[in-house]
Amino acid sequence: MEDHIRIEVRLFATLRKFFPVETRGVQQMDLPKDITIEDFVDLIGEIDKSTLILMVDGRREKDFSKTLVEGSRVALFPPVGGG
Amino acid sequence: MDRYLKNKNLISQEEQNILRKKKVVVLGCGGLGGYVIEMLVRLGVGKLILTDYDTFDESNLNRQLISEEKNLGRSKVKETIKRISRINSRISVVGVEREITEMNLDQIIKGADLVIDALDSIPLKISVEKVCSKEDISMVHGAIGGWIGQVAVVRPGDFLLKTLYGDIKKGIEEEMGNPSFTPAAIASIQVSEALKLLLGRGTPLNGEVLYIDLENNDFSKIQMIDNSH
Repeated sequence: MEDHIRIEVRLFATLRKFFPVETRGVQQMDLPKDITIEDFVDLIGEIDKSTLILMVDGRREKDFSKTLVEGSRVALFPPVGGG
Repeated sequence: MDRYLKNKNLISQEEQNILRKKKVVVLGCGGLGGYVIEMLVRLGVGKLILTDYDTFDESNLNRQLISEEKNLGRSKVKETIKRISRINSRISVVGVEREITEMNLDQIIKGADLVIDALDSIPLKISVEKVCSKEDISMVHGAIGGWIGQVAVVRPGDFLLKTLYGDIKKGIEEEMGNPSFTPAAIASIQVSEALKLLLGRGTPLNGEVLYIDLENNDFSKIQMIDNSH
């Protein structure tokens, strides 16, 4: 489908709750072409974007206005900072 | 030296002598710090510099190794030094009982072989990374929150934590708290990374974060910086 892209999404730790248990936090998702990271995160669930570590194809992405492309691998982590 | 008899097949006598001469700074004597210090002492690291400006309170008892009912209200650094002297009186320990900042940290870590991050503040962790880089000292980072923890080895110039956290100031520990087992697990990995760096052995983490989710038994290495060159 040309108007859609397929990406791989990996949710870590507390964010795994947004996918069914049997997926173990990993799912392929079909999304509208040119979807921004911001809209993609909203689609997954109610996630506080100000405390979210998001990686696209192994690189930390801080600009959520960027668009995702076919085949992107996206990973989402909650940060930890305690000691 | 019967004390290190059980280290023998893992750490040779020669390596044990090297460890005795090493100076390691542990920033924070709380959840991670208490376990990290305990393990460094039992490994035989000869010189330790410890920092913490806090005193023990009741809410520390669920996880902080050095905290006891009897020492609540007392200095974390002083109580930690007491414990070290009961385990190995030959270890040289310097306690720094003041808040560390980007401004005073260089004096504390100068001349150290390694810095271990057991702090509970993300902005401070990023400051430590900066100062360690300036002083050309590697740092073993650790952080915890709920069932989750992470470890990284930060080499001078890596700025891995700045890349990872960006502008994030607080992690999920604010919401989840910290139980007894997560600090112990993460501290253990920090110390094994420290041992590898001090002895130049094995394959320490390099440009990556080992992210551990104990609730789901997921151990993932996330590449943050390409250090393969």
